[in-house]
Amino acid sequence: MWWRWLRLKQMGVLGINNRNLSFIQRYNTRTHYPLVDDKVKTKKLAQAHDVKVPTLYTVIHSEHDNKVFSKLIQNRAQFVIKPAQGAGGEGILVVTHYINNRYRLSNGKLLTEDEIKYHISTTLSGAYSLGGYPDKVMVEYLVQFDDVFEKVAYQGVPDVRVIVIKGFPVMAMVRLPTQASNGKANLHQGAIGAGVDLKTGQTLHGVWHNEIVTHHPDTLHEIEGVTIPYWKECLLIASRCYDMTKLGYLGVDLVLDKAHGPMMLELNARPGLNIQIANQVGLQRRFDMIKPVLDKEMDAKARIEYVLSRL
Amino acid sequence: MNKVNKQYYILLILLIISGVGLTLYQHIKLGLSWQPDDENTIWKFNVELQITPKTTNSTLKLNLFVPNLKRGDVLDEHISAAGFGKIILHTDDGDNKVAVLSKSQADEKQTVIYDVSVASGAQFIAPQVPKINHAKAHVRKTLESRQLIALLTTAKDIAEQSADSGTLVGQSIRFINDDGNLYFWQEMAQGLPTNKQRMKALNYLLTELGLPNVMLHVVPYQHQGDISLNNLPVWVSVYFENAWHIYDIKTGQAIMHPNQKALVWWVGNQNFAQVSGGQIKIVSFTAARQGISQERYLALKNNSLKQNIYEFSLLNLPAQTQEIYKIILMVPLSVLIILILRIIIGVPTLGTFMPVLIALAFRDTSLLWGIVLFSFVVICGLSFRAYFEKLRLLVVPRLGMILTTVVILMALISIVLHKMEVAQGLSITLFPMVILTMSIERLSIVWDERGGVEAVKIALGSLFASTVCFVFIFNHALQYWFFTFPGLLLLVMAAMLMIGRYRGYRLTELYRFDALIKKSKGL
Repeated sequence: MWWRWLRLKQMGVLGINNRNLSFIQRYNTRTHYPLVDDKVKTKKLAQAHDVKVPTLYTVIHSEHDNKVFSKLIQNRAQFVIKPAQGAGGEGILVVTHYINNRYRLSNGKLLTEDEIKYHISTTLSGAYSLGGYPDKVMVEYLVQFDDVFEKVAYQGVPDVRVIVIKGFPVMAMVRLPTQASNGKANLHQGAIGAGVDLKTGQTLHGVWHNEIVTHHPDTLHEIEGVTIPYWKECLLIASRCYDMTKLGYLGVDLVLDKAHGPMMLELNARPGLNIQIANQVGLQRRFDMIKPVLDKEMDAKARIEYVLSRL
Repeated sequence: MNKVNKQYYILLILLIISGVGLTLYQHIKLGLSWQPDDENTIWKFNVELQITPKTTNSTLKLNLFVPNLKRGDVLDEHISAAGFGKIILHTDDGDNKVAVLSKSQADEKQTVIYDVSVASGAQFIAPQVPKINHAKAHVRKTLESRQLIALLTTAKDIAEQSADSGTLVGQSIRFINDDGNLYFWQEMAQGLPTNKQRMKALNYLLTELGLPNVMLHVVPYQHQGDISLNNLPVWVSVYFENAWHIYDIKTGQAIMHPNQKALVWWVGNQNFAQVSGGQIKIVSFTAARQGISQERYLALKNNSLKQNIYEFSLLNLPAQTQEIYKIILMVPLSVLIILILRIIIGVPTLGTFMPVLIALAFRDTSLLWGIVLFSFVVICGLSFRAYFEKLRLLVVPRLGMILTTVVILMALISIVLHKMEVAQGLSITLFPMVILTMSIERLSIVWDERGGVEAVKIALGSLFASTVCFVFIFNHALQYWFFTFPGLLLLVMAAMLMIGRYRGYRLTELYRFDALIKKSKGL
């Protein structure tokens, strides 16, 4: 058993205890957490800092706002309804078409406007928020997914997660939805995590429930070798999220839109450790690389340069 | 090292030192044993007097000497004398303690029993060193001139034959035990001497030799059966070279550890007891050995000490509260165990305190049945949850539905099992019910937030953790240790501090990152 420990230590793998003590506690100030836990705050912050995010059409705060829902969405046929403090992708309605006086969701369901208002009502009362607290509802732009992931995603939103330590992007992975994950890009629920080469933006093999996989179980396509477009821009957005939130240990979730390119979807102040399995590299190893210049004043571009030049 | 780290290490060291120190102090200084079931040996010394009053309805007044021991060595003391007024005082010279009893209308034979319980090795309080001049003056006053001459002659003889004080004592003792010294005994005792006369003679002799001495009347520990007053051993304690030296006046042997061999009942030449208004018929002494539990010993010792840290000890609380605290004091250890399970091994649990509460609930329901009950009710509760989810309710009312159905379910279980005459059904008392409903609530929330798989893992992990805690909390030896040595709690805190800075991998992580290990093997 001890040799396992040694091997992991050699690879610079970050364990959860060390992550909590040396990274989250040290580099994330508690007071900044609300900026990333409340998606509305995140969006407003991003807009203030010129970080590309899916456009926020409106925020519904109360039943009153709900009453004028139709006016608020101004005859849009495509939008996403999201709880501001939701967890695990619950409570999200992805509306793709307006047909027969009904809104059609991405999974085929048809809802009348009243049914949507009911859903918003329950969300406001806290049905989907952590701990059941009253919530706000965001109505935002529906991301048109870039085709690049078509062959390796099943019925859902693939996203790119970048771990950023004090503004330095150190590791990245793509989260590919599967049938097992019900179309959600959530690794715990069965999505596949594929490591990404930071220099080239190309996917490596995938990891599924802690084991290495080479092919997507639903599309049967090879996972490795997909190049993520606008990769440099992805890294730039991720790095600037540090400047925006001042959280030193950050997980940045990006999506790729056909028209707008990479956009920041959400931020996570306690990103998980499976990214190490997806990349087969330890986070500690990468951290040691940036340690010498950790406190240096560098802008986003310089930080990215530093990391890429040393890989 | 920065300020925060310094504080951390200082606190850690303080906790360890005080925890270990307090515990060792209690063990070594106060004599508390490591073993919970160790019996403490105590000795119960008894003296029984039988007194006949002179006339009917006479007033009896009785004085008797009682042991004058170091405070704290006396565990218990009683006088059993029906109808007597009793009081225990120090004598005027402070060397002895005396019990004074009186009864106004005594018509028949009276039995008075005094008993004292002590730990073995109880120490008597050394008498004051008699001033040799006063002692000599007293001898001159007491003895007639012919007796005095006999005494002085003997003293001179002995002094000539002896080199040092020890020899003086030895020779003196040999002398007074020798019945062949006819001239001496003729003068001092008018014939063969009684034990008492021998004793007094020795006392005077040593005094004339310039050695301050006091007679000790002792009851030996190891003696079987009763000792009558006449047969009570007497030791002489002689003061020379700035210390007391004790000798057996029959054998002349030096007594090295007097407190281990016998209990000193009284010192001096006086009689054991005096009575007015009656006659003392019989006096007998007994020494009995008793084994008592550690608890009882602590309680007795606590009573007798009445000062020092035991004043604020838990032993002063009523017995029922003590029993509760025995359990409460185990909680920190259980929390430590949970910390180890979570942070070092990686067992998923429902919070830190929940498994401890479940373990406490197992106490009411017994372990095996508790596990069965817990598993069954949780499974039902989560199934109800799955159904209620379909109804699209708000989180909190949905929870209310789940909890109410669980309560109804538990009531049904109790009724059914009772009908089936399975006694276990009635062990669902209030506390386990509360804990069960809390657990289901939290598991339901976990299911909401992190999915069913996580919820099941956490439920199983909590069950495992609470079983481990149960074994520790209700372990007799551990309960004894934490109740008796509260310093151990400080050590528990120190351990928690250390875990608080644990940066290493969890056991589960060594297997979770298996894919990475496989890769490194390939390197």
